[in-house]
Amino acid sequence: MTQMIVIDIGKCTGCGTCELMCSFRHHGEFNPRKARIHKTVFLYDELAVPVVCSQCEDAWCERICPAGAIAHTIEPTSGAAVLKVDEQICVGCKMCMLACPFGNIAVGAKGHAEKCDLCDGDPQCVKFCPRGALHFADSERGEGEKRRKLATALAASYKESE
Amino acid sequence: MPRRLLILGNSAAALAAAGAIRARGGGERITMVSREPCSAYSPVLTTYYLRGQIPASALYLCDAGSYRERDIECRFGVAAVALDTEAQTVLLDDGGRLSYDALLLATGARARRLEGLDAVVAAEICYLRTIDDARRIRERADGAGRVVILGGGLVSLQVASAVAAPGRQVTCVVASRQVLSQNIDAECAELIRAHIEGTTGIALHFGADVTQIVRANGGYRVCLDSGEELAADLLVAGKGVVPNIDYVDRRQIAVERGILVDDQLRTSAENVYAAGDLAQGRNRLTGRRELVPNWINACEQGRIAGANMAGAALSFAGSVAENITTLCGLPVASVGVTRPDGDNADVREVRYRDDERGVYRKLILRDDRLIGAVLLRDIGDVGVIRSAIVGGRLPQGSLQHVAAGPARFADALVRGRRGVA
Ligand SMILES: Cc1cc2nc3c(=O)[nH]c(=O)nc-3n(C[C@H](O)[C@H](O)[C@H](O)COP(=O)(O)OP(=O)(O)OC[C@H]3O[C@@H](n4cnc5c(N)ncnc54)[C@H](O)[C@@H]3O)c2cc1C
Repeated sequence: MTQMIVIDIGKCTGCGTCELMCSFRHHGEFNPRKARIHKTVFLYDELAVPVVCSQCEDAWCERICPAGAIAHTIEPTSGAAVLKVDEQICVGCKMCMLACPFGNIAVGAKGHAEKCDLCDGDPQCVKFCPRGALHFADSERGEGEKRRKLATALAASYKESE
Repeated sequence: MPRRLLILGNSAAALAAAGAIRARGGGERITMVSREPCSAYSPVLTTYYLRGQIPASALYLCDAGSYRERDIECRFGVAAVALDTEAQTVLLDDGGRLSYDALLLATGARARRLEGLDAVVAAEICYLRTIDDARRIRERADGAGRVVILGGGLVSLQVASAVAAPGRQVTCVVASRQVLSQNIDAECAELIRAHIEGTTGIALHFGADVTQIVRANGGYRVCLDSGEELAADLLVAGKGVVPNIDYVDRRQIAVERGILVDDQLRTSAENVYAAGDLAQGRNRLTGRRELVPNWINACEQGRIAGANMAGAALSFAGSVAENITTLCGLPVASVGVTRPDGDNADVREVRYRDDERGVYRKLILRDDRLIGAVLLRDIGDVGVIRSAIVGGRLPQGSLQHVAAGPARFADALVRGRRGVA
């Protein structure tokens, strides 16, 4: 059984707790700019969407990393599939930033790529989401649901002006 | 008898192809031939090695076990010298001959050599493409107080920034009027020049051509057409790349600047595919067939060519000229058409500049479709912008938001739709 972060778009209020907890976990400070999950607030649609790495099965970043620093691993406690950056191997060339169409990977101040690592099986964004908009759930149920919701939101945001 | 799939080359395109073939599980026989004797490594990382950031061992992407696991027969340290598409064979420089049912040409490109120089001096000029090149530069840079770099492109500037050190004079001689003339516009280039010269000791000479290089005092004297002369202990040239296609007979395979391929990565010869720096395929944004020598393109073309050699019918969506790098600490990205040529009546540019933060961002549009972007310093949303360029998306109205960045791209799009921007 593998788990992943599932987003319930209707429940997100855009409060930003997920960003703060993510940055605290990874950088020891509450700084949304250092977070690996980002909320986008669509004011006029009264909609907020948190966006985080979907740990793609056939991931762009993994495919093109010229250092071979990004690989799928199975997170031992939860059994979740997670795309991890090996910080020892990554040189910070930024090619993954070019490749990820969702902007979910970035090279940080430490000089290597940073992305969601599912917090060793206990994602802090999920744990602290005050609205229960984020779940860490089985992929069987989660994957399809998550994909559909994310796709709908993205499709809406990319719609041509009418 | 399993089908024999032969891959010439052992880098981005070749590895991606082998991976795609195995992923389909067809049980074909795969043989890889490479001029270099070593396992595959990443040319992209060589400047990090030059800088001393990583050891040479970190350049490798594979070891002998990686090929064994994928059941790939390796012929490394031998070069292809003649391809016969009629007989479906490849002659190697050790006299051997390999036949194939399907062949992938993935021999990439090499650094373009400077011409018209004294033979002794010419042999001593360093280039950066291979792992051996990188080792050679590192050895020679040891104790070299004056380094002259001929070129102002990505590789030249990365080498300059990698070898720059206290007490060492590094000078780039750039033929054009700006740095990165192949990648970005003059305004952005000027900001990069100011950054490099302002934060490092690297000196840049523009509009300068080398007329002669002679040996002098145990080093070299580089004579420029301006009459100026530069003293050097180490010379490195970065003048672009040329495809490695000397073994290809142009009567058998259609070649222009590189090997012409269609969207399935097929060459004009039956059962022969090509991918990577030597392939001239369709550029997604210009629609023309062009050489697009970059790592992502080589991986993507290799993946599709490999799958197709193994019986798939995948279509390549087209190449995107793009690059992302950090020059002396300054992040720079260029995607798509950044220097539109030809009839520009329908081209529009949206520019954002914040000198206080050192940010410059430019979006290029044709017929209100995003076709290119140049981003300086503020590049966090480059992947999202790339995906919009590739998908030809973007409503009007939101462009100012996107150009101004940072990130909140989707937000900007929706605001734009609502007419707020
Ligand atoms: C310093 C540097 C920095 C770079 N930085 C970037 C970057 O930041 N981003 C980016 O996208 N790209 C970058 N590139 C470009 C990138 O490395 C190339 O686009 C990529 O390596 C092309 O891959 P390829 O598979 O086409 O062939 P290549 O990497 O050129 O490899 C060719 C292979 O073919 C073999 N070969 C050659 N001739 C023969 C022959 N006759 N017979 C048999 N084998 C042969 C070689 O041994 C090698 O294995 C950089 C390149 C350099 C040198």
